[in-house]
Amino acid sequence: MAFGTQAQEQVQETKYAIKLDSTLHNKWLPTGVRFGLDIAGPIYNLFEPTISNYEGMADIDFGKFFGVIEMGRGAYKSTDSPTSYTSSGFFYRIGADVNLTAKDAKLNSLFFGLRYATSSFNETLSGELTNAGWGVNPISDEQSKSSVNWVEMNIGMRVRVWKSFFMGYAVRFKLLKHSAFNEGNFETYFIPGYGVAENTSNWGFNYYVQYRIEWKKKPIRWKEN
Amino acid sequence: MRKIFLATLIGLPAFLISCNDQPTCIPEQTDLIKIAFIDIVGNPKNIILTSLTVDNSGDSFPVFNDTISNVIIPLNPLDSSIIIRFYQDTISNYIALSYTTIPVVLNPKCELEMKFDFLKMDSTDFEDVDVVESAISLQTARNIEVTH
Repeated sequence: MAFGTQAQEQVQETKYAIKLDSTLHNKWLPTGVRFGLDIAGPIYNLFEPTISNYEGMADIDFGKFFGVIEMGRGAYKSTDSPTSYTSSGFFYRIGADVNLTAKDAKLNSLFFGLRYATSSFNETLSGELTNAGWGVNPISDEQSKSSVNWVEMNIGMRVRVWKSFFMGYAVRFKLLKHSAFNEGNFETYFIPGYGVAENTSNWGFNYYVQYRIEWKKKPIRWKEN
Repeated sequence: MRKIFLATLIGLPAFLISCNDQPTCIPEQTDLIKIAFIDIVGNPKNIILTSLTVDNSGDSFPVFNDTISNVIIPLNPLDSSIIIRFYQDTISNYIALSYTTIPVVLNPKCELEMKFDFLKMDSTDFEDVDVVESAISLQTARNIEVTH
C-alpha cells in the first residue's frame, strides 16, 4: 500500500518537461525562447532567381501559446523581360501560435497561428506602352517607402531533432485588403513578404532551422499511457 | 510526430512549387473609350462624319468619311485629358475629356499596360453629352452618349 502511494507521487518529467502541478508551477511563465532561420527562401531562389526571401523568427512560450515575431527581407528583380520591374524591402510579422500537441514531453508542436504583417518597400518600373493611336511610349518611374499590411493564418510543425535544435515548417495563408495601397506612380506588382500584390490572398511556405534556449523544464499536462 | 513531420515536409513544398503560376499575358486593360450618338429617345442615330481629330495626336488618327452611330477612341497614355473634334460638313463640335492613368504590371514577362479610369467630361459644345460609364474596361459597352 505504502509502495503504491510512493509510486504515484513520483515526479514525472523528461529532460525538457515536467508534469504540471498547479501547486508548484505557474504554467504561463516562459520556459525558453527559440530562434530560427528560414532556408526555404534561399532554396527557392536557386530555382527562381527573380525572387529572393531571407527571414528569421523568434518565439517564446506562454503555456500552450507562443508569442511570435518574424522579420525578413524580400526582393523581386526582373530586368531582362519586356517590363523591367524591381521591388525590395523589409517585412515583419507579429502574432501568436497555439500548440495543438501541448502534452508532448519533447516539446514538439503542431500549431495554428495568426499574424499581423507589415512590409515597407521601394520599387522601380520601366517598359514600353504600345497604344493604337499614340504609338510606342517608354515609361520609367519609381516609388519609395510604399507600405502594406496584411493578416495571415498559419499552420505548421516544429520537431526537436537533436538536443535544443528544432526543424519545422509553416504554411501561410495571407489575406490582403487591396484598398490599402496603389496610390503611387504605378500599381505595385510584388510586395516583399506577401507576394504578387494583385492577389487578394497568397500562399506561403517557410522551412525553419531553430535553436531553443531553455532555462527550465516546461510544466505540461502529462500524457498518460 | 517525426514521421508526420517528414511526410508533410516532402509533400508540401512540392505541392506549393507546382502551384506556381505561369503568366498568360492576356491584356486586362483597354485604352479605348466608346462614344455613341443617340436620338432624344435613346435610339442609335447615324451621323455623317467627314473627319475626326484628337488634339496633339498628330496624324495618327484616320480621317473618316462615313455614316456612323458610334466611334471608339484610344486615350492618350501620357496625358490625363484629350479633346476630340468631330467634323460634319461645315459644322464642328468637340468633347474635352479627362481621366486618370496608372501603369500596371500584369507580369514582368508581359508587356506593360496602362490602366485608365474615372473618365469625366470637362467641356463640350454638343447640346447634350453624358458620361454613362466612367470606368474604362474591356467589358464596357458605352462610355459616352451624345444626344444629337
